[in-house]
Amino acid sequence: MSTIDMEAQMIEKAVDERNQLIDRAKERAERFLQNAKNEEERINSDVERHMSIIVGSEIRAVHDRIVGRVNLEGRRTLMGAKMVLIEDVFTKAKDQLVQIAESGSNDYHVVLKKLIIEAGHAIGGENLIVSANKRDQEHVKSILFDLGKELDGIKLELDTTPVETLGGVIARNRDGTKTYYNTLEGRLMRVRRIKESEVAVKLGVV
Amino acid sequence: MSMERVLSMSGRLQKLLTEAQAEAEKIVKDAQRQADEMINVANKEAERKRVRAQRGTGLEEMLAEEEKKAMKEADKVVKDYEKQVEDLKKVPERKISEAVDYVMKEVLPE
Repeated sequence: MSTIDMEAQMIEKAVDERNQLIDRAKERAERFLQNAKNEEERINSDVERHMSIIVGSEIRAVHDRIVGRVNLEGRRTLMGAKMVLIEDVFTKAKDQLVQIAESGSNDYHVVLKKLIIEAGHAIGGENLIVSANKRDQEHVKSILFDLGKELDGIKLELDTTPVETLGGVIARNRDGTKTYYNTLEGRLMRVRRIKESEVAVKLGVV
Repeated sequence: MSMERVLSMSGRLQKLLTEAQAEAEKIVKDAQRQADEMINVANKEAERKRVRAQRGTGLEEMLAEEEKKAMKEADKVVKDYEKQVEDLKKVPERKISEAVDYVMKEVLPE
């Protein structure tokens, strides 16, 4: 080995050794600082906990007053926005019901017939007096006439005094002890009461 | 390479290592001092807070600090609700129509 090689080797070894010394020192230093940081966090968290025991109720009250209030307002606003959306659905449904009822179509005739049959089943007995609005009286009359032939033994009668309704019928027994409200708006209200949460699900606003 | 030159080189390298050793010790010592100081400061601050809390002094300061924190959180809460309300306005017409159809199906007799 030449002297230059020997010299280079000695220098390289010494520099390696030096670098290792420094690297190890830096690692130890890093560990010290990291441990100190952890300890600092532990102390801070301890004192926070300790203080929250001493003055926690006051601090919580401040938090609740500010955050609780906006939470409440936010929930109210959100609920309001949801209700607007749901209201829109029921308004549109009502508009469609009005359209169907006012059309006087065969579809509506079928709907009326089903509503009368449903009311008849609900009330039971042998007599049924059916009320409808002025517009639907003729429809109902003809339905009752047809049904009278179909339902042997049941006496069906049209109440000639019209009722205020979008459509559908109100049926009662002769002595007036049983009344079944099967108007379109009544059914819509019932659906809203029972199915509103499902409408919200359909809209994806739950 | 003469013996003198080797010895001289060896001496210089030894000096380099001695200096490196000193530097390394200084790095560790400095870090240790810094770490001790961090813990010391944290302990002193914790003790100060504890004493103040126990005496009831500085409560206003703490409450003001909490109020600041709560206001920040409240801002976030408000923004979150605002976003939810905005999202509600974006419910597609298709979903509204589906919901109307569902209601109609429930209202009209089968």
